[in-house]
Amino acid sequence: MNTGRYAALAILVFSLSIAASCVTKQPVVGLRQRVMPGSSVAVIVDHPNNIKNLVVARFIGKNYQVTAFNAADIYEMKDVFDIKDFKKVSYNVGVKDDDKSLLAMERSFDSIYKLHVYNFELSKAETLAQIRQKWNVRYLILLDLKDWEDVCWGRAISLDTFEIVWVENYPTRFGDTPERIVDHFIASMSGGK
Amino acid sequence: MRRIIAPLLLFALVAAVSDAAPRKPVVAFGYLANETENAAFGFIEVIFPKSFAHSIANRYDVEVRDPVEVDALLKKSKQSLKKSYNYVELPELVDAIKAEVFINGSYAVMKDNRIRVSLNIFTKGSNEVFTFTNVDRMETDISKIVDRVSVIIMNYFEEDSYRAHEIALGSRFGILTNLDNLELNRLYGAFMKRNCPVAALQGNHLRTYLGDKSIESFKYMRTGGTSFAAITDWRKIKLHRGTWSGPRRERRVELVKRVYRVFENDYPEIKWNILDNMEDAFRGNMDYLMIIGFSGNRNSAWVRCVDVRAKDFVWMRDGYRAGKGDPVTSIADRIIDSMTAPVKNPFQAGASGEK
Repeated sequence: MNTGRYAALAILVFSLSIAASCVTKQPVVGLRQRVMPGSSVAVIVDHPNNIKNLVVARFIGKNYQVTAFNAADIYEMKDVFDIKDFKKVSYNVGVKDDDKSLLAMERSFDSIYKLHVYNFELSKAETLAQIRQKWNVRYLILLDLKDWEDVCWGRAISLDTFEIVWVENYPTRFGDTPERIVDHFIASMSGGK
Repeated sequence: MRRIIAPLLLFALVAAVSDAAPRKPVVAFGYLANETENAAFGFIEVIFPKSFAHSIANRYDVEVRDPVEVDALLKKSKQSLKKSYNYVELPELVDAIKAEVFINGSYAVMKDNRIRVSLNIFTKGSNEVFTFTNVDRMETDISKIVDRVSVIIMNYFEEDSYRAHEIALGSRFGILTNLDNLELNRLYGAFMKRNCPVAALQGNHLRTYLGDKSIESFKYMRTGGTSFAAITDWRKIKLHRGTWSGPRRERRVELVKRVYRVFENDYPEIKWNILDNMEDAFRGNMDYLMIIGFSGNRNSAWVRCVDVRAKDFVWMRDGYRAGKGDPVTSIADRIIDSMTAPVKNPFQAGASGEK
């Protein structure tokens, strides 16, 4: 009897996880402004160099002006300052170990953390403005390529308005190659699909 | 049922099933301190809270206590009702006056024929204080001002919600949230579909750095006029020191104290300076900074929203629940629906409002 109940429970959990997985793998496309061939773009991908070259080559092949960024990340959070250091110092100085003391400390930590996040976002915004001014890049494109049965995603940001102008989640199909996926993204952001 | 209504109902239920004579939950009012230079407006100090108390009593099955009654209660324990309270004093106060909710605040009649009313709402056991400021026309009919402010109180009571005003579609949002990149695209996609431009605040990054725990830091928000804050009693912090501690330890203690002072007392100002710079960096392309905290399973969420230009905390709401389909998209749709809906007026029968 118990075995039957466990089996039913297992089937239910399995079904729910499949359903959740289906939801997360649904394709998403949002396009507010076309990123047309001929535009000056910077492409950010966090992959080995051969894949980076492949991605850039596909964009060049579609007549985009691609500015090279050796950028796994053009900005790192740890560059702003290391928030964890403060937490360590504050706990080490021997604040009385009761709930109220810890609560007050947590609030200070939260304040610093929030300022840290705001500062980080500010730094990134300033970096984007510099990319626009120094290299005359109009769009920043972020791509993340994944294997079959996983979901690739891409995003384009207009550096004129700082607006996210294109997003896509693309579930990889059987037979997709990196070239086909990048071509699909290019067609999608340029309004071709 | 929401943050305040739920405790009130629970209290009523416990009181009903206990052997003691049943007691209605108590909503107590302190003074609204007159901060106007002209003392002629001092008469409103007690009239306002009495009127708010009357509004609340008309709508909910609660017992209300106006400032005169609260003061009389405190006098029994050789205390008196003060014009204003620090947040840290509120938990002890509600115990002393045996109330479940305490509301007090201040007002000032301004030179341009407007009035500023600020209220603090504290619920026993919550350790949270919601403070809001309403600046609007000075009416000759005081009841109009009371209604205006009561609407805000009741929306907070019933919906866990505060909205200074409707937020129009087409406004540009910078969003901070705890979603990974695929989820972030689903959120952005939902906003884009509804004609809400999204500024590249978090989405300009390949990795998500805000997690389910760290986003909770943003749940509390402080601005000059409106805030939702956790109560922390700084007086009770004890940093161990003595003759045994030595100069190195003393230096570290002093450092920590200085850091606390800067990031506690000067926090709002530092934050606004950063937001000023952010507005400059985005060259005016971001109207609102919206923080959306999703639960770990993404089935519920809360929202905080700041008007970047006015530097005003304009919207907060807890308890968004996902509907059918993708929870992130569903919650995003509900957020957009509620931000554009007219602010609900509980005094108007059949009034539409945020869902």
